[in-house]
Amino acid sequence: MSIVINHLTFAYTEGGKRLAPTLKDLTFTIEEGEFLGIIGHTGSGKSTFVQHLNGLLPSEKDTVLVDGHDLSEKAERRRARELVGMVFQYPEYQLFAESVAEDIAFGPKNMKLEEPEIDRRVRHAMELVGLDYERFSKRSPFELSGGERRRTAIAGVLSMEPKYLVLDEPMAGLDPKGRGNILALLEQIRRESGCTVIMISHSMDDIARHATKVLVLEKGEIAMLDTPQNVFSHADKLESLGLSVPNVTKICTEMNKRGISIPTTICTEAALLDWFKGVKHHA
Amino acid sequence: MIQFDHVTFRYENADEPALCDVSLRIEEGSFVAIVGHNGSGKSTLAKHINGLLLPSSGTVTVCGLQTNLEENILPIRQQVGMAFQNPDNQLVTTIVEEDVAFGPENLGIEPNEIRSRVDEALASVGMTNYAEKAVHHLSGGQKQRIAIAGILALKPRILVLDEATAMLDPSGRKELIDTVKSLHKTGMTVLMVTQYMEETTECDRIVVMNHGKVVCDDTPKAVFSEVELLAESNLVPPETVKVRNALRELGYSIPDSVLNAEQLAEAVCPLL
Repeated sequence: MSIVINHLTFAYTEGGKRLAPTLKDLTFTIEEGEFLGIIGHTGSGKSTFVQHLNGLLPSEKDTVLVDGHDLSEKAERRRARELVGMVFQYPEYQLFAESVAEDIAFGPKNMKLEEPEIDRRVRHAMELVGLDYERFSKRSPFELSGGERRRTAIAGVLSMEPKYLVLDEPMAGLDPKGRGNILALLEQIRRESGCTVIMISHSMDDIARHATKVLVLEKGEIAMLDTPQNVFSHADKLESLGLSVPNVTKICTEMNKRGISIPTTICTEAALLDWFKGVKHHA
Repeated sequence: MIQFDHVTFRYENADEPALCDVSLRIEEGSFVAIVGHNGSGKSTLAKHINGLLLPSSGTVTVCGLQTNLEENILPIRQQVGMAFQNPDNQLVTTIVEEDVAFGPENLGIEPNEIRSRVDEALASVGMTNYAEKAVHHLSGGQKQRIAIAGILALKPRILVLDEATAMLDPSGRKELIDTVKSLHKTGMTVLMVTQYMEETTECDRIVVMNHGKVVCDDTPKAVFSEVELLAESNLVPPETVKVRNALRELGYSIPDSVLNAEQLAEAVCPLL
């Protein structure tokens, strides 16, 4: 199963007038089990695109299909929303319930699950995001720290046990440790449930380390869709799109400038250290 | 220019103080980064500089004026411009140039002067072409640049950025950091609270906060060689420094002064 995007074009309207399209004729498939990183300049259409993945923005017939469910149809859309979990930017601003547990239970309740199943899911989601059930379940979300609130909001999406997890800049505003925690959480969910992750991020380092495929959007069109290694080896093109490359790629580029021939497809610390170990081995 | 003397600050109902006996001196024209994990007190510290928060004990003096005297607050805020993380909370009007003009208009500045300040401020954040656009159509990053333009239009002597780059894309962030650097070169005193260690390598100083205390206050070179102190403070060094340290373990001798990709390549290539 997969999410099929088929000639998706979208334009916002203002005062009844159709504005220039934000998304232009996107066609590609998000395969199950992938970790798709989405990068692009501000205004490139990233957030608009992901809001199509669970029908928050309207699509035309046969343009967005989640496991075969056509999101242009209301009943199908409802089904797809149970498959696609959506974590928005600064999701902690959307917390509303009186306690952490109630907030996380909101989604499963709407899915009309039985009480014991809801309870199991709340506990499991809290465990995943690293919030101790005994300590946090009864507390008001508003008494928590920023990082804890962010994790509560993410748990509220995980409790629906989505097959596809979409996150729009989930690490924005978190400290380095908080960022590391979220990324480790995503890796764990992928390992345990095979969940497909679709993540918008401005951190090229994080995308290089975690994504299995990278989608580069520019003015609502696909500029690149490839492995992180291949995408990040095009430093000039990315810079012309207002993007950058991971730090490790920059190091490789600088080494090449100084006459050391090192592949620019190396974009993670682990790959770079392997290269150095290889050099040592041959020396 | 800015002086903290034994400042302790406690939020209402908090068990522990958010700032604990902080003493700090920031000279005119310096470029200082304040780093620390979420909850370390770095934003609380920043909010003391323009009197948004007042010390529970101790004093904060800005341009010779103590923040705990009511009559000093307005003059201090005319000297200290402050930008926050979420631009949606900082914009007040519907059109970009009106928003940038909002501050100077409130100060009763001449219309011609306002026009030139607005144009200059928009140019310095790279948003000249958006002057007549509607604010609600801008992306988060663009809104943030407008918020900063609004501050620049007030011509402050001190600019405090409280995680102002957190929502920007790489080019937006680079543009903002470049803007901040050029403002610093023209004499502006800049304090930058940030989670991104990469942004701090070109500062004069880095102040590391942990549990409401200043645990380190030194040059980037010195701070990033304190591996244990960073780990204790829940911080991670810039990517390049991580790579540098890993290469040292492989036996390459690379000096502490190496903080960016170019410097690392310069140091390591002759060893290959």
